[in-house]
Amino acid sequence: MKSSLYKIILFGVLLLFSSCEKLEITNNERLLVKGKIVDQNGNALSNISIKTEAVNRILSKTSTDANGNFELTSLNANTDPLHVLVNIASSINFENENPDYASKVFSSEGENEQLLLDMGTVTLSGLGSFSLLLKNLPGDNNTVEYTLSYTSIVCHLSLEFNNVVCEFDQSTQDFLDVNSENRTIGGESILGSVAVFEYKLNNGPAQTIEIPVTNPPVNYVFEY
Amino acid sequence: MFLNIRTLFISLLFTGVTFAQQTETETEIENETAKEQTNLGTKVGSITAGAYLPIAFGENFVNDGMDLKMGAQAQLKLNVLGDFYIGPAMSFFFADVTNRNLVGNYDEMSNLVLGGVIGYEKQLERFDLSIGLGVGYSGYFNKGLGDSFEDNATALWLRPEVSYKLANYVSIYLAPELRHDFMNIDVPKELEDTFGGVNYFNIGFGFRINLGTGYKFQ
Repeated sequence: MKSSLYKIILFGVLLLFSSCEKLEITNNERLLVKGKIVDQNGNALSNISIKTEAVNRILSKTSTDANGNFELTSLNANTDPLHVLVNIASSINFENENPDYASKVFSSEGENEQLLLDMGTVTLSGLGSFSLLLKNLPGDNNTVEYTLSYTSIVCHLSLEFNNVVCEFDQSTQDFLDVNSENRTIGGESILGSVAVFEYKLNNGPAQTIEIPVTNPPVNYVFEY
Repeated sequence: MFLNIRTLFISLLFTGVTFAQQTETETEIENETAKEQTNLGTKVGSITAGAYLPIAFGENFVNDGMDLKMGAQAQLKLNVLGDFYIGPAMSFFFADVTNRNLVGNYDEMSNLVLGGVIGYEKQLERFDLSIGLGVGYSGYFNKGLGDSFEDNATALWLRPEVSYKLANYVSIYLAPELRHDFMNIDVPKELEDTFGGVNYFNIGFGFRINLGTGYKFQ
């Protein structure tokens, strides 16, 4: 009973805070957002969702046509950054709307001041995954310090700058000792890319292993 | 003989007095008629209020992206120089957004125009015919996404009106209106045709209160 009451209060407080984040739409302004979506082979992708968003609210949305083209009129946020979401179902947890392809998020640094957002040709790669089992061999007293870097399936880019590089933006690191249990690391990434596993065995020189991202995934094993 | 002359004199005097009275009565009647005619010319103006049916046309964001609902209008005409009049005018209507891809992701719009008119009006028995030119502020108040925002414009309209007297001071009117809103929305040049301006052919109808005795028709 008490637990339920706490949950209700917590939900109420969260609701209060979320409603405090007010969206201010710019008066007397409309933006034009246009472009084309292709896959990594240059083929047009149809029915890919495009949205503009600010403060977690959708300002406009559409989908690409049969030729991969899109064009939509959007409202503009007065003070908050504007985001153009490509193939994103929910801006809260950045889920991909079409699960076969990666997604991209273009964000303005502050208030967007451009009336024409010509995104040009946006490439969405296919998705794959990778898996690496870190196996602690009994009897060995080795330690491993590692960093795993790979490309996220949601690429965050600037709306103002034409930077198309979105690689190895995701990384995890950890230290394994003799008492560490076996574990599997991995995740979803861009099909055809590689995840880089960089490790130091017993604090020795750094070595790297490239793990291909495939679909379906290949399970690799690292023994120490 | 003397009696006859006296009788003639009395008769002439009586006749003169009688004629004089008659002349005076006619003059009074003429004066009163003139006074009434002067009163008939006293036209202060009129107040019209009624329904307002907005109809957008052409390539613009209102016609292509909204479903317009009926509103209302009101106008005060004050005769300032003969049959010429000036006065304030207002109108409003509502709309639902039907094409969010074209206009943006919001739900509904209400439009309010506040302005002034100048025009000319002519009375033809029970009918009053007028034509007015108006200019004013046009506000588009948009709601959706939990927030409201505004687009605005300068409205220019031409409004012929025909009204028919049901009684001396009460008429019904019908007023088609050709209106253009010069929008103040900042857009890239690709959207200028859509957001640069809105054309309307609106229809207003309702009641009119005639101010002044000059609108009497009986």
